[in-house]
Amino acid sequence: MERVIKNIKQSPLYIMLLLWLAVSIYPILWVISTSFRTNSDVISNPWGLPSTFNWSNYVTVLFKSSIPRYFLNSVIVSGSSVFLILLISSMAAYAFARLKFPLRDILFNVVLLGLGIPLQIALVPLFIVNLKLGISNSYLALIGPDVAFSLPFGIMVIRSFMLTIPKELEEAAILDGCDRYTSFWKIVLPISLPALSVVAVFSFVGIWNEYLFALSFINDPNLKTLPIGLYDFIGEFTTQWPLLAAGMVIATLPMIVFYIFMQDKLNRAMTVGAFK
Amino acid sequence: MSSAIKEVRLPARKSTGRRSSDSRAAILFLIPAGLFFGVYVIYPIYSTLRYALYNWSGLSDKKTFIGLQNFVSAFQDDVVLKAILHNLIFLVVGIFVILPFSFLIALLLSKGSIRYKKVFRTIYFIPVVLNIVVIGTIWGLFFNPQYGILNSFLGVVGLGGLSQSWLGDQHTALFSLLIVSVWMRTGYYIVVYMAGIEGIPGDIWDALTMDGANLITGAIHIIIPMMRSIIATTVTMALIYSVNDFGMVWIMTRGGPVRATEILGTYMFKEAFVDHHAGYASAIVVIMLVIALSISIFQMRLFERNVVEY
Repeated sequence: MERVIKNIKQSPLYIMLLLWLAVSIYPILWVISTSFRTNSDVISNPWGLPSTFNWSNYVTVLFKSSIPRYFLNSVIVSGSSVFLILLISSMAAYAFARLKFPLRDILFNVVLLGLGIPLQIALVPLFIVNLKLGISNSYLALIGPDVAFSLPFGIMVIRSFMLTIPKELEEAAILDGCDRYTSFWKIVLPISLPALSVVAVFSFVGIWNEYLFALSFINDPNLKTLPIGLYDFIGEFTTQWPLLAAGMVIATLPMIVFYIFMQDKLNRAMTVGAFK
Repeated sequence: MSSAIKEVRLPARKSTGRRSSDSRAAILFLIPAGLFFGVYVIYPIYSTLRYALYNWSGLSDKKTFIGLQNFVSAFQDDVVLKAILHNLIFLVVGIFVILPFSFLIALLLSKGSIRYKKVFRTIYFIPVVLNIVVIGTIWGLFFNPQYGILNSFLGVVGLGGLSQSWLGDQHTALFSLLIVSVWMRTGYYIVVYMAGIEGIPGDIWDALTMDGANLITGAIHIIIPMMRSIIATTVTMALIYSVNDFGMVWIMTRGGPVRATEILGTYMFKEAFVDHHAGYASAIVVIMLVIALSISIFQMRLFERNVVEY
């Protein structure tokens, strides 16, 4: 890493970096801090720090609210979706990266166009279809569109990465009698792990935070995912900010931890060219 | 050398079987994606296109065919025009505020010798992984006229006169949302640009420092052209995001007050589920689709990078 900007710490530009750092993280810190305080505390002094570590809000949220239920729903929806996305998009990416077949380029450009399609286009039709098929208020109603709309991104990233894998690797295996399918599973897929991680993380976060379909297709309180459930939770306890804060921490912390955990892998994969 | 050897090897294997076995394999590999895409994307697009041609509430089965009337009404609808204006404002802020700002930070962070670079980058990205409900609620609290942090802060700094109901006043609502938009999106582009910058070979940087050239001029004339592909991608992403957005505005203001923050996404939702004009709503989303696809196609043509070459 070349050092181009000397003495950056003295420069006013460094202050800008620090400022943005503070701005980025302050809201989270405020929420975490508020979650440990009591309601009366917060009303009199919204800015202050907690005097003691008051865990009662977390206890209420974990044991007396529906947040754990919403959390579970989100895990099920996001988890299943990401699993399907990885499977389906890596297969399609392999076809686009390695196989020659008619219409390949046209189809791939269609996939790329898929990236820009507004989610709302599917809102009314799927709503009607869900009603008619009786699958409103089901995990399936969410997983289907969530997977479908995430496929273009997955296919694009994984194909990009697969193109950088030397063809010799597979050629050797095929000469030894290996067929395309085994070659895909045993050779190409394991090597593509970095690209799969990128797709997994971005899709997981995207679907976890997905709001439109979750809002429109699910009414059953037992099946609501975290964003929608959290919204209800907030409506229920409007003025009890510490309680809201605790709920938000529980809703967000796993995502943040997950991201921090994966981010090294993520960045390495992105520099390798998964983003071209 | 090795490619010559390859050329000798392959013709021996390249019987007529290879092409068709490739096609057969391709079909198998593509069926799952095709299925999902067809059912959940292609079919809904087709349906929506059809619904847009009817006067239909969405509640009953009673539909009257009215051709392109919905589209004509849409372009004469004040709310639609206002919404498009707001989408445009988000777009302008996205391209001319978020992207340059993110790029600058990415450049400084990548190339300044900062010790905890990774920590910086992680923290910058956190707003991106946050739940939209959380973001909307937190900032809603910040903007609250009575208890909000923003107004308290202004009071402390002596600018109490500027205090107001940020989200409730039609003159300040959009501006407040723009602030939130910048806050929650910048981190993503910082990470993308940093990845791109780190992909640039070290010699370029050496040339810059040895020249004694000002970093900014060096960046503009050399770095940016080298990152053309990534920048094109981010511009397209920002453009499309501005057209298709829904969640943030919906949660914070629902498009109000008095349509001050209405965007195409929120208007379509209201028309479909609140006012029960499913046909009209479909027309609106078709307009969104056309705009978004035009942007995509334009970008693809312009940069030709997506023309698949082997």
